Amino acid sequence: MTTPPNNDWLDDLLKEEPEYIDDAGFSAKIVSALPSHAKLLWRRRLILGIATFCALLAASFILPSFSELGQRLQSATGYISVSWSMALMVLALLAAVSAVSCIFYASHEE
Amino acid sequence: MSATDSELIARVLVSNDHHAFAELVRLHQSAVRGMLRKLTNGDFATADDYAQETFLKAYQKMSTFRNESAFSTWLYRIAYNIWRDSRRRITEVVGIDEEAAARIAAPVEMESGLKQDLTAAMDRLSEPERSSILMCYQSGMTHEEASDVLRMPIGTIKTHIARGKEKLRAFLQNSH
Repeated sequence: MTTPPNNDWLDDLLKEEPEYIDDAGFSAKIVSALPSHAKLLWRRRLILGIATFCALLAASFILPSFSELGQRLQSATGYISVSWSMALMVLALLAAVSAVSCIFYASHEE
Repeated sequence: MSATDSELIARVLVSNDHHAFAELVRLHQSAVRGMLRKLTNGDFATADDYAQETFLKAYQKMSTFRNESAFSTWLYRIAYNIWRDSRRRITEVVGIDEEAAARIAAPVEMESGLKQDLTAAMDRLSEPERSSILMCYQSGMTHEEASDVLRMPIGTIKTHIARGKEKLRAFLQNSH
């Protein structure tokens, strides 16, 4: 066995210069294992599609029909509920439009 | 973080650019694989499997990367967590630390005298002591970087290093 030197021998023994490891196809292997672009786009489309469907479903339950809206507009007491309904309708429409435009954008990204 | 890293990360995030990610892998593969080789004590095949897992995870989680630390430090942290979780799983399933047992039974590389003793002595340290020493002495990290990777305060890292070195010194002096 070798006798350790007396001065800072442990530090010297522990210190190692990190040596460069040649890539040798490692990066290529990683890139080939990455999920494909098309797969990611499909996942994005699926999520946006489900979000749009949910927004439309929620809108159909929450919002009154157009005939009901007309009736409420005729009565003075229905003013407040009509304004809330209108705001919700605008929000739901905005959500649906943005979701559809995202799907359109995603499909053209490919 | 170097400008090159930030540019490449931006390209991966904005346009899912596989070439940019390949460049990131090329830039950091040596350091990540080197650290994992040390953690696995020279088991190159296992280290490369962990490294592959590290980069794939980094790709999936790229959007969560914040510029709070260097990209390399972020990668080291992922790599270290993968190694630690895998080691923990193996120990739970098999009941013994196979990696350490294999290291003691048959060192992978033929090392001479003192180096071989050091390898044996390192196996007698606790995991945080061994990891702290490996990160700071053999992977060239600063105490701050090691603290970030190991998720420990800098003071704790320094304590682990000091205790680890005490144990190593005692073991190496006793064996001579």
